[in-house]
Amino acid sequence: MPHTPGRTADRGAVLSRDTQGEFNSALIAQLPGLRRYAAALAGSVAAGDDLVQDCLERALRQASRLREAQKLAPWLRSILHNLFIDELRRKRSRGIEEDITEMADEFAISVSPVERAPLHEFTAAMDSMSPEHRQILLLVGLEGMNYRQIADELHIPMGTVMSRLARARERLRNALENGTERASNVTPLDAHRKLAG
Amino acid sequence: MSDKLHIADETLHALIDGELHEDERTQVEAGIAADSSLAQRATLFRADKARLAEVYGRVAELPLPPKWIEMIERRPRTPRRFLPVQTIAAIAAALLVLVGGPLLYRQSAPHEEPIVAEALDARSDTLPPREILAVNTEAQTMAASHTIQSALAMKVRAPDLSRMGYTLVALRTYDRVSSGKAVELLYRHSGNRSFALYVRKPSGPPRFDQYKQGNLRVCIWQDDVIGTVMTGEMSAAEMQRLASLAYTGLES
Repeated sequence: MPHTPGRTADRGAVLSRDTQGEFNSALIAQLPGLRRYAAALAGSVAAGDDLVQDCLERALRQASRLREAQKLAPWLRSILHNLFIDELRRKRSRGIEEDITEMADEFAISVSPVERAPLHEFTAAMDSMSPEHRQILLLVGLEGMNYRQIADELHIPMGTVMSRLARARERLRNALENGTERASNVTPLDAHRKLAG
Repeated sequence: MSDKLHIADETLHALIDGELHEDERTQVEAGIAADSSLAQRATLFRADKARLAEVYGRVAELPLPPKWIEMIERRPRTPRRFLPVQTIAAIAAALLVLVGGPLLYRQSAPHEEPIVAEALDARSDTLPPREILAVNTEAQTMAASHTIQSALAMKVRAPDLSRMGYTLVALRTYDRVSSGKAVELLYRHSGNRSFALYVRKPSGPPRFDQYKQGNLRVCIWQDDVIGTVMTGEMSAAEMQRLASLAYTGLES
């Protein structure tokens, strides 16, 4: 399966941890990508930045656990994802709801007013996804990773990557076409065909 | 009975993501071409994927909060476990300093790494450029991005540093450097200060360093794909923000 990852996906993939200075440099080089991933996962730049801050603290505390330097980026994403899930659980247990409109405004800062409505719709649709679906959409669409890399990072079979991605994209499409309220009632494309056929 | 080829959702998405082998790709593309509703779905999925990168990709262009860099650089040094090795290394280092100190310094000091030496030579006009392009208009800025892409054979563009008050004024290309080709982008601040961004293939392992040489602040930031050296007369904080904006702004 040929794949040509973008420059971002490659960044920091080959790292040496011979010295603490190199580890620090490698960590800094990962920050722009990690920040982007966190903002998309959390739904806002501010919430994403909080996640990155916590992730950095934890990564610096646990740096000695990272045995393979090439796994720095997956290791950071894994810490960040766990922190995100913890935060979601905390919010749910306290009954805290996020203001999606406010979050979407953060991503709309640099776009024209005409583009803002579809951008709001898109971020709202993304925020309606489950964390698992959001994660796989971002790993493919934002991080430019191929299916094998994702399977290795999430410790799941390739087939699961493919089916999870197909479901996630179908749900996102449904949320965009029908609004976020009905996104969870989506029927997979295969099922559509069976019904039509 | 329909003679349309049944294409599973997973296969459709594998096509979109460039995960299919050539023969399988050709077959699936033919199936999509014969099914207008499937073709429409594929177009929408592709658009959603592109939209995702477009919406969230902008976040990586924001300057990094300085407190993150400080947090990383403040990290206390961890004690080494293998003292005998450390002792041997210390003795070897002492010998090296005594016997070959000046040579060791030449090879390890940040400004002596090939990419940094070249960037400084380019800035001081010691390195002769192959071509110099003045940039005064938006069209010339776009042309500069094309020139960079073509010179380096990478998908990069001229970073927009206007948020920090810097405007791209010139582009110089070089073809007599150790990596083969390099480019230097010259930016000018309204206060008449300049910022030079030297870009080529990396000359060493991924790293981020910043130091001062005379009045000049030098920042080297490279990953395994691209190497950049940024120079200018400015504070460490301003260089940090500019470096972040420039490095991430190279993304095409």
